[in-house]
Amino acid sequence: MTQRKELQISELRQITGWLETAGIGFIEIGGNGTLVRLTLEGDGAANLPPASPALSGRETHVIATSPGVLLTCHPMRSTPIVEPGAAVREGDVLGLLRIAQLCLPVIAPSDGVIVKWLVEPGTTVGYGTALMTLAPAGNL
Amino acid sequence: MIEVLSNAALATIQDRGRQGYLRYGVGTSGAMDRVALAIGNLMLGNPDDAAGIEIPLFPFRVRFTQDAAFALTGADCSARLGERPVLPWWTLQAKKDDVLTIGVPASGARCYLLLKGGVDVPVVLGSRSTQLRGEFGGFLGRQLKKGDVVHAAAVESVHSETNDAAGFGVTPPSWTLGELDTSPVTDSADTVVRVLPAAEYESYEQDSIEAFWRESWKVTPQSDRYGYRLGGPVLISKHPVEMRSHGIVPGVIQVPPSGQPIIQLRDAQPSGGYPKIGTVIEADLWRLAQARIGSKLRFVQAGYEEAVDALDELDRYMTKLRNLVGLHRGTRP
Repeated sequence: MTQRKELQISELRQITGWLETAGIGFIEIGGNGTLVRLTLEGDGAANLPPASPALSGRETHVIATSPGVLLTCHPMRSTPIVEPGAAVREGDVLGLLRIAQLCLPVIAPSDGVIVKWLVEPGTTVGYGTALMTLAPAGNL
Repeated sequence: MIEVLSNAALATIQDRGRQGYLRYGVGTSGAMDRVALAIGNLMLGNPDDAAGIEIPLFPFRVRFTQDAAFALTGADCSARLGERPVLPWWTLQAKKDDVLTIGVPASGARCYLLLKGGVDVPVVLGSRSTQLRGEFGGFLGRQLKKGDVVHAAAVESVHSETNDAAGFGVTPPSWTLGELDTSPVTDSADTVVRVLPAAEYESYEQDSIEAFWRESWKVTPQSDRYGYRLGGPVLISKHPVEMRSHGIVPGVIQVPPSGQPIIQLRDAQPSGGYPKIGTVIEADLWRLAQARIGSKLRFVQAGYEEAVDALDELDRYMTKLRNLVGLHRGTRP
């Protein structure tokens, strides 16, 4: 995992064990220019959401790029960051994935109109979870 | 680096304060909300002693004269970078010519704008904080004004950092440390702080002491970085208390002859002669810093042990945050 320390096979077994328990399909461990991807065959992998553009019509899914607790409102506010029906631009912050005190943004992958959240606020989601449906701009 | 576009007065360069000079009559200065300042520095990977800009009047606008990472902490000011909203307690990369607008806060009183590398002003008596009374430190010893160009210290670009265009944030400290509760009748909009009884506490009438803990105290318009003048029941001493000037620190609650208390804060003189009924504990000064003029304060009695525990709790919270942010930024904390 670090440059100096080599990953032991026993650690890989431990990690796959954790993935299985958590129902996570795969994990990617990256360093300086290296990337290790560990994919779990079977049930864990079957739970994976479809890849981003695989929806009927031209709607897209916004996919979690990190695990975390989905927040649709900032913890300091009571109004949502964005509302269904709103037009958003590529790169806009739509929601937050909270890991302890850290808040990572859920980002619009393209311009579009928000259809709906697919996950209740407060739900803990894994990497790759489909969070929101986005329609092409001006086409709701 | 950034050019101040607004006329909003009272914005000053502050760091965590000027320690060790009270004996020479030099106050601590420093950020009113040191937790917000520290977290902003953490998010940017700045040194702990880096200085930022404390903004108490809004709207406040700056233009970036080059690409730079910044963080906003403290009050929720519905900020915008160009057209895009910037969430509170957030760090982001700005591009040359981007205009950052920090609006009127929905909650809280002071916003902190931190720059990657920290604001580059000379260190005077161990600190970059603005000493307004002495007119030294900070930006030429004064408040910022329109047209000022504030530079950040040069930093080597670190390749391992996350290069997320949308940045990242943290939850505000109250989310972890909680709002303090006094009683079921406490208005949730009130700012509750813990107070240690101070040297002249016993000199007050029992009715006054009871009122001190029971009643809410209005933050009057005569409240600033020097101190908060409070409005509420008149506090009456059993007999006139006359004292020579003695040392005081931020958080001390003095009672002048009017019977209306004053909480001395970051820019207070380091000595005073009014009797002291209590002291807001150090771990709660950040809560005080975010109490707006016109809002109400409530005091809840604390003991010495509790005050020390509260500081430890704050410390643990900051350590945890440092680790989390360090992991996210891809740097070893």
